[in-house]
Amino acid sequence: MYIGNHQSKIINSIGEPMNQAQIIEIDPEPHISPKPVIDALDEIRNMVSTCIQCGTCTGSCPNAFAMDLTPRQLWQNVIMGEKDAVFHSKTFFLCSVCYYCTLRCPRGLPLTEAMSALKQIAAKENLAPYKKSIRFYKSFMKSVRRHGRVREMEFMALYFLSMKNPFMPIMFVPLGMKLMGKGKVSIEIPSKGDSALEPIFRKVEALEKR
Amino acid sequence: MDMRTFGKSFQRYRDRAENENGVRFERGRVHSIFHDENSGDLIIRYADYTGAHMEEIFDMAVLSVGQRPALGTTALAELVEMPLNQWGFGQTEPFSLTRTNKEGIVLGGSFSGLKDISESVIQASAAALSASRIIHAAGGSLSPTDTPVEPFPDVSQEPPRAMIAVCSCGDILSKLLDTQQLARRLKVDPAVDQVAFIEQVCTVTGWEALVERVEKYKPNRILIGACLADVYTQKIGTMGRRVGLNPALIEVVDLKLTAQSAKLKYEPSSEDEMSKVNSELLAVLRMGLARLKWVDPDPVPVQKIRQQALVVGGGIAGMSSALAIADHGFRVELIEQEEMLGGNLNWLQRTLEGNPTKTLLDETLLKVEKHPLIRVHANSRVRDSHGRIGHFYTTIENKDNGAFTLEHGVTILATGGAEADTTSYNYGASEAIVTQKELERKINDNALDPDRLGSIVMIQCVDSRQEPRNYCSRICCPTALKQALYFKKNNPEISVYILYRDMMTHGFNESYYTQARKSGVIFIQYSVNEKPQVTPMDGFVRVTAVEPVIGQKIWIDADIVVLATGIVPKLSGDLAESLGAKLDQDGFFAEAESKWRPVESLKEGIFACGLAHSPRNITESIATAEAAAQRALRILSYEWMPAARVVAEIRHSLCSLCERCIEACPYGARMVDVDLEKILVNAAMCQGCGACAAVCPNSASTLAGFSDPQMLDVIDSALEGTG
Repeated sequence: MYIGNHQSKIINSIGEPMNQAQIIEIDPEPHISPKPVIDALDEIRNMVSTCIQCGTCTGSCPNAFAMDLTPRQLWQNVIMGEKDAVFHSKTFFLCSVCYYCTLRCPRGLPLTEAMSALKQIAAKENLAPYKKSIRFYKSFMKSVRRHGRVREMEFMALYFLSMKNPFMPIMFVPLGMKLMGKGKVSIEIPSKGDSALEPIFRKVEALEKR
Repeated sequence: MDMRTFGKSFQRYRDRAENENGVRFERGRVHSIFHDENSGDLIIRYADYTGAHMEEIFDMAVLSVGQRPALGTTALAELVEMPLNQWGFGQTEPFSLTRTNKEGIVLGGSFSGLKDISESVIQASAAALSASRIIHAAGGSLSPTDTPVEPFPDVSQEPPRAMIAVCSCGDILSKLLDTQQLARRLKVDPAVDQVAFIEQVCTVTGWEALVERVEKYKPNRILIGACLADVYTQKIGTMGRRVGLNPALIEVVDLKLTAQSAKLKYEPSSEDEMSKVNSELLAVLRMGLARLKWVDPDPVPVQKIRQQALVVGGGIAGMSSALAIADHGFRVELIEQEEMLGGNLNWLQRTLEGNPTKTLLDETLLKVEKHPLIRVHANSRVRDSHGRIGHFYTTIENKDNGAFTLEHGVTILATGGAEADTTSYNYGASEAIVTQKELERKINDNALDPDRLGSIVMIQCVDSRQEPRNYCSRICCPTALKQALYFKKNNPEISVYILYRDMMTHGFNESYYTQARKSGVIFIQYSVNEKPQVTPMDGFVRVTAVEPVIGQKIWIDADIVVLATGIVPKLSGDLAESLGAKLDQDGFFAEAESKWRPVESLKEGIFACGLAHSPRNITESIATAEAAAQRALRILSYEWMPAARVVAEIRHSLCSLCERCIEACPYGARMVDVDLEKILVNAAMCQGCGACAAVCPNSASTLAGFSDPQMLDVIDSALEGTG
């Protein structure tokens, strides 16, 4: 009998098989990636491998209505190694870390952790579909790193700057006015901060590189 | 999510629930239940298969919480120094559901794992067998030795002379009773020879006093008024043999119970009330007397039992039951159709648990060959069989030596089963599409190099769990896991996909299901309405299916496609018919009662085990073999047995052919012969329950020992007491 040695391929929809690696747009900015995406996805696959597709996570998720893939669908895609589908989905960036799914999962899977791990991969790889979110997160952390807490004005400035879109601040004017009216945004003198948290951030960076 | 219907006939039961009775089956898991305080309703929330949040209102929720080891199991196991498995159930030896590693300790029921009723009953019989084997090996015996050979003297021509012996029970009864008056009122019946009051019949002294009195006066009926009637059964038998009176002519009625309930009802101090208590007791005694008077005193003819067994089929089940019977000192004739014993174990190599089946086969073969009481007839088949429990005549046809006849007391059917053939999924169109058995063979022959395989697809439930083979074969899911884990272990890079309807990994098999998931085996559920498609391509096989969770069509290019076609029984209808056994609609053995008499046929003396009985794995097959042997030994261990059982009869001259008895018969033992214009009774199937006699408006249907005059007399006596 014939025994071949070609790899199997699962494609999301019947049609021409696509090269999965080409689907994911890699940000041209230089970055250091400790592991290739596929290995990192393997780690998450291990976290959810014993999933029984019961849908408790989906049924419990307060944000499921806004997700393109329900949590159950996301995990099934992870299990099947469908990184194409996983890294085009907004699901994991919509996770608000409420831990409902982790609490209720009958298999005791660390689902919230797995969601965060997906965010981290997306951030490290700087994947195109999540650029906005990644920059938002990065700007936020930059401000925290300087001052030990977020400074809203600085955070906004950093975010708009990173998006390199001159019209963006204008789009946010109505929201900004609203927030200021409620005293949610304070105006402070820009400063470099005292960098009291700097050693902690350095330590984390060192740990992550290892 | 799996809905498991792995037991015999469970799949049809489930389908009936869904299609005929409108039970709704929803695949999903309820994540929360809320109580609506205003309406009192229960609000149940879950996600459906599309992921939509569902909220439904129900009146009641029933939680299925499963089984766990009984409380105190750990303490008990420590006490007897017996191992428990990782879930806290009793650990049994490989290939046994009952034996532990401590000789002398055998397990039954859910103590060793999760079981339903029929499996518990099978296991209980197997445990009894294991226990009796140990006792027998040590020189002891559990079988009765003193069976009556001499028939009892015939008293049918004598007028009834009854002795009524009433236990005074300390002085409780004598305080309550006006003994003189009671004796007087009983003696009104001419059948009563004498009434005696005996102090504490339940004690040795009391019983001896009674026996002496019987020996002195030689009555031909004895009625004992005492308490706890059931405990006297054995004593009555012994007394009957000692005094030469058929135990059927001795009866015990429970007076204490009557006295107690009467005392609660009436005020014992008043004279009038006391006489009411006395009347009730009198009625109970009179009912007993009425039964005794009408007892058919014909001595029951006895028949010698041919104390040897015929086992048809020399697979692991057949060999196990043959050994179990032979180990108890009875001769066994073992019939095998093929040249070699061993059946399916000849091609199986190991179990899901990793136990080598070859060792089991070699050890069993050696024991069978060396056993002086087992005679193996290879290349032989049963041509015809007749007779009844205790004495069958079976004609065996040997390939070389022609036909010969064997005489035996019991028959065990262990004809086994085989992997079903298929033409589905393009089987036969490519060498890369194989069955589970073919894959097992290839693995065993080292014909597959895991390093050169890229992807394997396994399709479960091929032609199974849908008409006409609408049953679960129970072993294919564990087999798929076994093979998937083998590939993953030898080459983790292989992609293994299992396309399934429901993974039937009941009990401890569940852990292998989880293990397979952990090792990266991908499970894709398919629905029977949308089966996978298999297309042989150039050098590989393309499988397309719908992934229900993602909700999209997928394809997999596989090196090998494995079809789980399930088990078909090899029990031929002709063989079963000539034995008087019945088959179910799938050709498996039909049990006398699926839960409580799981290895017996409705026709007595015929048993089944192994795959002929139902789809099951090796260990479970051996358990049925031991259970069948244990049930057979219950017959073989007697030298004599009643020649005929009580069966219903028909007085055709009174029968109006209303057919009510046919409806009433729970055993289907009755039919109407239109040509003869008669109701016929199948004596082999009739169990003598008397339902027919009760419904017959003309008293045309009768049951010996339960005649109308007797029953009416009993009823009259009962009513007399209540005034």
